[in-house]
Amino acid sequence: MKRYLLPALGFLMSPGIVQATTPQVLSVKGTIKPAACSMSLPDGSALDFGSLSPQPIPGSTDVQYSKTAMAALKVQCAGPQRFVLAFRDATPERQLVSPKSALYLYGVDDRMVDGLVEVRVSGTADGQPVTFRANVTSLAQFDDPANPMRIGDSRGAYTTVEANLDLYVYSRVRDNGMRDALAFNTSMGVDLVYL
Amino acid sequence: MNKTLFALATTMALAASSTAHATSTATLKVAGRIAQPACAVSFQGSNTLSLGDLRTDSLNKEKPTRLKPAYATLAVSCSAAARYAFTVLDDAAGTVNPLAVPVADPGAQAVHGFGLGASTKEGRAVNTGAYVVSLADGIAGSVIVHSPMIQSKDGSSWEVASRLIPDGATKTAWTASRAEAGEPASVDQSFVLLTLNAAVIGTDALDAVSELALAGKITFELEYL
Repeated sequence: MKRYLLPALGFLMSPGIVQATTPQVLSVKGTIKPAACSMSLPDGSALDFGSLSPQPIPGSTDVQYSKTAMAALKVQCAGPQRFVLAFRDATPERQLVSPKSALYLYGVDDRMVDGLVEVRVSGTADGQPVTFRANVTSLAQFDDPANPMRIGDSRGAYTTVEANLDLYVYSRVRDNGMRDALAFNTSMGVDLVYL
Repeated sequence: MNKTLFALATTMALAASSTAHATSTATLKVAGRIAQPACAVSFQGSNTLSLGDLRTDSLNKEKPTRLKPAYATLAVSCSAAARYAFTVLDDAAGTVNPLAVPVADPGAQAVHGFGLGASTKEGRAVNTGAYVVSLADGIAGSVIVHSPMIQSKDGSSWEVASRLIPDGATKTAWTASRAEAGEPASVDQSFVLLTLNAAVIGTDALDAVSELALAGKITFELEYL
């Protein structure tokens, strides 16, 4: 009797694998965030052109003052980042035209000087020379969101960018327009814009 | 009345005859129904494990990075003792990055890998990483007993298990025995600590300028044995 009873009970107790409960879900979440960047002016935030000497303009009674100087700009990111540099006139109350490809010179008394400063950019990204282009040239465009300074190719993501800012100051005055030395100043801002 | 007495006498006579001519076989039909105990599966704490916010500068560029482990406790509670096992299914199985599996858990094999989701870089899909779920000793029954977890492909042959296999078929169970190949325990409650070890691939392979989401999902199904 026992021989036949056990198989019968076994069949009833093991009706096959049956799902016991509603499946439970364990979710795993996290986020990988881009590294942040910092920007610095290793040589300081002030650039003094010193004293500019007048240069004659052939065939003209005007004279010109010009000089170049260089400033370093470094962008350091914790990891590869894609970004552009947006140049702006940091003296907006003096802005006459926007956007523009140069900053205008002003005297210490806020009197406008017939002169300007152009900024051309070159440099490296992650140790390799790359192109810097705003629109189609390396000339910085100020207050021009459509034409920021692009670094390398459009997909380039860099950890370290070292930019050389070549500043060219130029002023032209009439020969008799300036008897005394005239101090001038201007300032610009550079914003790092993530793409 | 007389008819009734006659009929009863006939039945008894037949019974006596049957006993006198007993054969070597007999059949006893047994009917009944055993109700399955109601079991509930849950995770102690939250159903979501967080791997945190990771900055790309904290990750390797050219090789996978192992992340800090995360933990969850799987609990089963039944109305009566029962033998059960669970299977697991990786809802993101298509996103396992095989390079990340041995970094997530050096002792793991490809079959142990769970997906962490995919991202894109330059228009191409990239599997972000992988994770492996390790099993600590289980606790089976109301009497606290630490016992190995066991696994079986067919439900009859069991081996000690140390990691989940997300194939939707491998059964993982608690054993009440400390023996190497103990049978699944019949208990009313059980627990096991799950340790999730994850790794993400090198950031050179990822779109490091965008925020990437890590997204894995495991479905646990409990089965009676």
